Amino acid sequence: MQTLAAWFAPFLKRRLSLLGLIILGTVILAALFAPWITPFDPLEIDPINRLTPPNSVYLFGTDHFGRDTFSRVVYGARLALLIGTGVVAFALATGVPIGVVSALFPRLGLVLMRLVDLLMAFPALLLALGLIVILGQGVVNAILAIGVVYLTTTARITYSVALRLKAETYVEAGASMGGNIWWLATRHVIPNLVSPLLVQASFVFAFAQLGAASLDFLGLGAPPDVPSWGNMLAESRRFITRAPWLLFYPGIMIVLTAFSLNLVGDALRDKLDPRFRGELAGKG
Amino acid sequence: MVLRVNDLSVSIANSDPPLDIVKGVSLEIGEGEILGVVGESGCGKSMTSLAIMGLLPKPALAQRGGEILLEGKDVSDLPPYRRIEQDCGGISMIFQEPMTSLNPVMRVGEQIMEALRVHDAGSGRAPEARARELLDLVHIADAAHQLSAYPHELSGGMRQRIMIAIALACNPKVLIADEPTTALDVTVQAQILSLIRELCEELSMAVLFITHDLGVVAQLADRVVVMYAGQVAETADVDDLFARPAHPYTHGLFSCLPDPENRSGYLNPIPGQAPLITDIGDGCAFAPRCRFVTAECRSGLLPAADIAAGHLAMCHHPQGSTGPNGGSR
Amino acid sequence: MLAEFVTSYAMRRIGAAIITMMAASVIIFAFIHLIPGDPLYVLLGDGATPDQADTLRAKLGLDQPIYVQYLVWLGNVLQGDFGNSLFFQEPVLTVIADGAETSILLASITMVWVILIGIPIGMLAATRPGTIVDQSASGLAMFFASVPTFWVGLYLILFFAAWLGWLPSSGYPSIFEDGGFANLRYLLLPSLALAAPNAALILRLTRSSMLDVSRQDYIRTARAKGIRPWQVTFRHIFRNALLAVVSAFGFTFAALISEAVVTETVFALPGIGRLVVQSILRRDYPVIQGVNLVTVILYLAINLLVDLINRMLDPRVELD
Repeated sequence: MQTLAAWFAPFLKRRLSLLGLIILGTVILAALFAPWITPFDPLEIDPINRLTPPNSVYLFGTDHFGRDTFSRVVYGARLALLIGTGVVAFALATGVPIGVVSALFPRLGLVLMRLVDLLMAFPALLLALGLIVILGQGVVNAILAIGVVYLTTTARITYSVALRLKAETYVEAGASMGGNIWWLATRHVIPNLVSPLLVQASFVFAFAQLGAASLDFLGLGAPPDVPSWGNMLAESRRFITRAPWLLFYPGIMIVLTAFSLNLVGDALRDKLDPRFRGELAGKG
Repeated sequence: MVLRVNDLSVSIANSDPPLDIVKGVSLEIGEGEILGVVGESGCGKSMTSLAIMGLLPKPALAQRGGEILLEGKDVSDLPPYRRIEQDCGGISMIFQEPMTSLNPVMRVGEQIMEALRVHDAGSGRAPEARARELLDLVHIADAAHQLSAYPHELSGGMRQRIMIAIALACNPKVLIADEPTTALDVTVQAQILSLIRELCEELSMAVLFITHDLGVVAQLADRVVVMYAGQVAETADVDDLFARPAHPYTHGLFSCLPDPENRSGYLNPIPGQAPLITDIGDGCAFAPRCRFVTAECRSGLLPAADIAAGHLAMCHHPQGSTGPNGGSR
Repeated sequence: MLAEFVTSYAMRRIGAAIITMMAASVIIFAFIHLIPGDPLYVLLGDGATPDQADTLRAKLGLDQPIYVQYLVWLGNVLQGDFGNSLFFQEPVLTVIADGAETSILLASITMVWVILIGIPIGMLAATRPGTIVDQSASGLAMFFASVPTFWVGLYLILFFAAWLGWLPSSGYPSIFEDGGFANLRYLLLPSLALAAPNAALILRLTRSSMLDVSRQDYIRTARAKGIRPWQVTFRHIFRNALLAVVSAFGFTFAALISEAVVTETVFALPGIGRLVVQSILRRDYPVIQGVNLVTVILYLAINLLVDLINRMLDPRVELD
């Protein structure tokens, strides 16, 4: 319990990060309890009530098909969190092994890192778009496409942190005691990666939101009938003067989610050993 | 007296009750005199000097009470760039780490000339000529070439000389040197020390020399202030201090020195450790470790015991025994 | 001395960039072959005649081993032949060049905003850390760093185009046509939308970089010299902090390229970004490939330039 309180301390000290935590928590809860808190089916079409401004029945108004914006926004949260988790999981699952292996096996590492650098020669969205062209549209493909983009930064960070750790005297001491490479990896390198990767994960989660929203907005992400925030914004374009609430709510959700994740990431980074600030300073 | 500090305290800003890093420090330096301020790491000697300069790291620390009199004028309320101006008498500082104390993206000559221009060294070629003079003064050969060098192209000793040149640019009445040789090799150290002595004599400059090395103090200083845990323990002429250390702490310092005559004996460290600022109570900071402590030591003001002319010990129980220069202990 | 190090360090960096470019070209080449379907029809579209198919097959050597195909392709590319757009039936390079003016102007104007907004406010925040000024600037910056550019764009359209009618909401007639430089106002809203998150990032970077530098020993030396606080800020803190900020420009440019795709779509600007999106929807693969090629070249070139500028600003260069 003491450590739990200590863990939350940096958040309590800074009001902004506490705010971030609260917003994030709300989004997560809303997503989890979606079926119970949404008054309408997000896909249910009701032409009679199309383009209604927000009122007591339709909290966030309705769109051009009469669908309840509030319900769609809440289900959009589900998708947003799903995509974020997917991207982070993919980036970690691929990036971390690449980074660790590259640090522990220098010659192989040189090659692998060159390949990662190569991927980074492509601007993020273009890379994602290119992958979408090859893989096709869809939520899973969007996750993979964005995941590949952030695999590169994850691998880079893991690599540089692992290299730094390898050079630490205590690791050398361990190696001189006869520890083999796997022992080094599991006992020394990987546990120390948890903190910087946690920070990285929050930022990647935030960027994944923006990336997925962009893909959806362009019509290249989630299929049109799926209630994602990006899709909702794309559909709202024709009606922004008549129905500005359609522009506001999905958009503000994207912003709040990314914002809160950035705040959490910052707070985590400040809490960490300042040794790692150099590597993490690049993103956000 | 060119510089006189009266009852200076530096505390952590907005702390209540005030947490003092430096408490009630008084010292004075005359023209052409070298005052050594000696004490272990963390005893507040650097903070005292930063306070005198007005360079305390804001907003963390602040001067709390006391006066800093530069040629008779209290500069406590003035920002650093005002204290350095000519009409105040001019005060400069050099720091401990020559490797990181110079702007890496600016040529060394430019950094010197920047200091010169503050003190209205004229325009056109005049600053450059003056800069060359300064480099000569600090014995840097090939001045013209070195002026256009970047700091990372110079050795530690050279960089420290550049720092001294910068400090001399404002014709200071007082030069504060905060452990300028600690980060340097012993041979370079000797050169810098003799340079400082030379400049002090040539320019009639007062020097406040901070160090933790008693050997340096013995070589260089005319008078010495011993500090412990943010307080002044003892003040004396250097010969007098080494002959008759009065404060138990000073006494303990000298006792720690290994005796080349007595190789087989044990060393005599001072028992215990220096206190955290939060643990320093009223009265004498050395009380927890002192052999001669009594109840009156732990509270109230410390008396300034007169040991001899110009020799003060802030202690209720100054010791009369002799120090390293005076025979047996 | 200046010329020497520029040549040697620059040569190495240019060499590295060329190698990366070659490697990237392999990936871009492979792109066509990774798309499901016969590369021939990927490149020609479904309505291709057998004659066209034969011509293309011969020209690209599609019946040869893959590495030969790559070399053939590379040869063509180096001569400026990126193939033909399926949609426009014109050389890809021509199609791309048509969109270049818009995109380049958009990117340039955006960078101006980013620098004009991000750096001064970042400096302001850094010189008053912890104050209301700093906290609001940092908070706003963090907020805008989380905002999708297309959302900002849509709101700008709503306010300034739809409600106020001050500015146009879409399209961009060239400055070389009627209207001249006044036509730049079509780029005002899009550039602001693009600038928002990037200015925020540069603001935060300037701020943190300046705060880091201000903690260094040499800043204390500078203050000890007796120069005025503003001189310390500009000549010492900012000069050193600039190094980190300049390095970030390469990354900022990459972000710009990415985000421009969406912004051009929102504002219907006839630029390369919108071209990419439309080509994806139209399955105009040669154009997609061509844009990728051009973009990567440009991106690597900008990064190289930024790197060299950085080395020139920072005299602690690794001379070789």
